[in-house]
Amino acid sequence: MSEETLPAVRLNAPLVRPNALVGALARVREGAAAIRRYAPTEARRNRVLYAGWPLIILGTMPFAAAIAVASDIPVGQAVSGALAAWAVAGLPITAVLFGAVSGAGLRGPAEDAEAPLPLSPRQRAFGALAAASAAFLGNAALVAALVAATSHDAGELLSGIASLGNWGSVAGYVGAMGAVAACSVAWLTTASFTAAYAASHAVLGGVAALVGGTLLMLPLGAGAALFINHAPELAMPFLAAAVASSAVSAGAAGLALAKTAPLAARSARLSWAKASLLSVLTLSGSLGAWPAFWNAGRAVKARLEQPWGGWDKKDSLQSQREKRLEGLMEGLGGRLVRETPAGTVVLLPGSDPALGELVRRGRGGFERVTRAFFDLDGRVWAEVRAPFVEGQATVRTIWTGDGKGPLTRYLTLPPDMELEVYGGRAAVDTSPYDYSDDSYILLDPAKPPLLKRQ
Amino acid sequence: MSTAIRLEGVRRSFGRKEVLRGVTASAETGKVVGLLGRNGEGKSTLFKILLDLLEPDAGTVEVLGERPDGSGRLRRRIGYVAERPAFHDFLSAGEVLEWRAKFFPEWDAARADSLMRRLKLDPGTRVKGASKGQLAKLAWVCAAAHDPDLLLLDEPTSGLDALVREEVLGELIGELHAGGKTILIANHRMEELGGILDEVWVLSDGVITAAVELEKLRTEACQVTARLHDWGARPVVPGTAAMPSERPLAAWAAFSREAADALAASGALDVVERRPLPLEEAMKLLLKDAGGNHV
Repeated sequence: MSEETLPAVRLNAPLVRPNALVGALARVREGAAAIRRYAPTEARRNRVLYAGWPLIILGTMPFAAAIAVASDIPVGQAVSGALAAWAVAGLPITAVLFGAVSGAGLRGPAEDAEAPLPLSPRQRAFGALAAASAAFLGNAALVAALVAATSHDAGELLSGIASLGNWGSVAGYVGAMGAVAACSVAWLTTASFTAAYAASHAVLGGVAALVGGTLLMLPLGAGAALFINHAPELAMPFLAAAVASSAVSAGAAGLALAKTAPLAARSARLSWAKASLLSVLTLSGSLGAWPAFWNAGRAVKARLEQPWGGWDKKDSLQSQREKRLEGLMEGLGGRLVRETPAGTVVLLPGSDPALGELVRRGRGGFERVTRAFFDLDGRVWAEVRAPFVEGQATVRTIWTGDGKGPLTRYLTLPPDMELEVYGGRAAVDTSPYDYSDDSYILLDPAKPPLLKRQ
Repeated sequence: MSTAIRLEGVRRSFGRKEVLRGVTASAETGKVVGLLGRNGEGKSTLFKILLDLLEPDAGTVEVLGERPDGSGRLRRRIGYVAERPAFHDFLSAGEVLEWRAKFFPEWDAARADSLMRRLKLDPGTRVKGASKGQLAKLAWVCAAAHDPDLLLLDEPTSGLDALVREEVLGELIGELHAGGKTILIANHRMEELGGILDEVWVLSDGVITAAVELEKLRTEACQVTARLHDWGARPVVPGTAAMPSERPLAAWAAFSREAADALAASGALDVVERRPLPLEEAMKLLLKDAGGNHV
């Protein structure tokens, strides 16, 4: 290659031209302003729906109360049930309804009336979507306010639904599920809006969103059920995938709307390939949830197939933890002895004062460490059973330590409870002797012990 | 003089039906152009493409020096009166104006008020119960209140009574024209526009078949009556259209002097008479024969 033909290289060439950046920012600002200007138009167009829906929500309360009176059940329970129904099913349906009505309403006569406005199809679409979303949030706030104001039971009910039993004890679970719920609702609103807008038909859009929503929620719900019943300690990776999946869904639906709006409004030629691509984009998060679920299923299956006695296996994680615990106890002057295949251990007294207290010899024999484990943070938790004394309830205490120093007493278990350790980041599950209900203790050394009965 | 509208090979289909099949035309800034075409020939489609409401399948569109890009920004500089004006039926006329004002930075409320008074339109008139004429008047106010550079008027007098039509066509369009605005107007009663048009485009079969300067049409259009050498061999000359006649004489409308001369020189006939054609009749014939000989 001759010298003349060598390409010129500008070493100091900026990656983004400042003028282009300023122009892009100006366009974003202009677009946002246009969306703000347009949103009230949408709110006014659907004013009957947006103003009437809260009245329907309010109307179901006396309706539920009347049914309660007629059926001889407590009124508070019926109202709580109605509110829970609104929270779990009513609000997602509201999101679909508002999105679909708003999307379809943007076409037809509204399109003709607004044709001369200097707005892009995207600005109109996102302005209308913003108004529909705001109307939805108003209804969600109303349901939340009713839950807070009318009934303690409803709050309990909702928190029970939100925590799905044992999952409430998994750190970050409620926040993650809140994020999943928010993203899913955002997806439902946006997807129903997009589908109804593209089809110029509210019912078609709503049905499409419900089908897509089922595709999204089914793997997440099924995955949640798997973990609730079998492996809460594996929950966090799944929750992270669920949050990511629903967030990607919501974002992808927004992107699909941004791509669909100009094509639909300007009646541009839309090939099957492009239409399919847009549909896949709208459903990408939903479709992405399935591999996450598949992965979760495999993880839970592997966990279930691991025999309890698998602790003995040299390569099992639990076995390694057991050995660590054993080593730790020995290092502290105690000795860990596995008593049963279920992992019951006996700790012999040692020279450390704390351990001495922990395993002190009682009137009826050795105190026993009946459960001991490392949590996912590496913290040691141990249940210690006091020696049996005729005519007295056995006292059980829970001890904890950072794995480097002595254990300290954390909690004395109520006498009717037996500790069952399922593992997990900070979960110790207990069940009473009669197994009629469950309770759990939130093991968080930073907080006072919280014993929760359900 | 700059070009306000430039169309080159613009095509647009709806499904399998190709409505525009390669429209090519241009209008200079400040001109008033009449768009002639039968129903369903694609006039409204062409307007929507110019308004950046529809995307052409092919071809080049340039409006006021800009290429429509789907952003809608171009519409700040365009006033549009649709064939069937549509407004939100939950608004009154006054509310429509207030609402539109939010979207047009150049909106002139005083001008809008003045137009409302001039067209005798009550701001309290509800869109829902408004007559076709009232809606047409409101469309006019909306189209002109932001002082646009280009007016696209798709059957703008439809629904207006004769008096208002005269007011709108005779005065309003005249004023806008005098203000240097470019106007593209489609009107079934094109003869009403004879006094204000600078140019006429004939849209037929999806293409502009004729673009005629009105002054030229006014001064040069003529009826040519001739005796054919062979009755079965009528000459086909661009810029002419056959007219009803009785044997043995045949008649043509020639839309320019050159077309009339070409007809006479075709060698197939002997010209008997050549007389001026009134403008209104020439325009009707242009439209009637739009699918025939291109001018």
